[in-house]
Amino acid sequence: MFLETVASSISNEAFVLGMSAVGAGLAVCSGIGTGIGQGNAAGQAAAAVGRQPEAKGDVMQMMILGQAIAETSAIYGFVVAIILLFINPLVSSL
Amino acid sequence: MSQLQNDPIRVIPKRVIQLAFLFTFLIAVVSILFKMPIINVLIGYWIGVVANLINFRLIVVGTKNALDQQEKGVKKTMQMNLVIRLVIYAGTLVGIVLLLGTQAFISAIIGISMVRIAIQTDGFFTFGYGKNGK
Repeated sequence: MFLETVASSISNEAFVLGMSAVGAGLAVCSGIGTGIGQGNAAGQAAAAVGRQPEAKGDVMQMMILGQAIAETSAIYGFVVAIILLFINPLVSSL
Repeated sequence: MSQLQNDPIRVIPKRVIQLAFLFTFLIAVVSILFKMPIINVLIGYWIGVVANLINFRLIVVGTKNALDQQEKGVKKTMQMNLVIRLVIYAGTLVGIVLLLGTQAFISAIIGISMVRIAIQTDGFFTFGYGKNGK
């Protein structure tokens, strides 16, 4: 009964906009994995430098390449969120 | 090891700029073919490239700081560093999509992927590198 009342009072456009906002929030969650991964990589690198200080230069160079590559997945999730929020492709297809 | 692995801090920005000029030409051609606003698209692309280079610099600074710390403090430093970079990306992309439009936004996405493209196209730049002792 309650759900029927709610469903009849919400327009299609409002529903799609709301779901787009939920999808945008979920897409941004991809940043969590990137953050944890980069933090772990940096922690392991710090431990490696602690064990072998003379390898600091090599560790840093490899880590920079890894960080730059890993960051992109967070950006992609972020781009999806911005597309859902600002360009609204789902609303325009109604 | 390639030149990129030997000295990524100097080589990557140089390659990003080289690739950015090539991509500018390609994006201009595509914009003309599909009748898109070429100025907006190119401005969006270059803003993306500049944001990406700034964030690469932040990665380098953050990594240098991280390796001088203890292992426990490093995770927090790197996560804060990532949040700062994402905020920069957010400001850039939202600004572009609101001020310059959808087509400029798409080119800005290419712009902010330039460091990754530069790393992944290492093989094209170093074709024949290391042969005959060179």
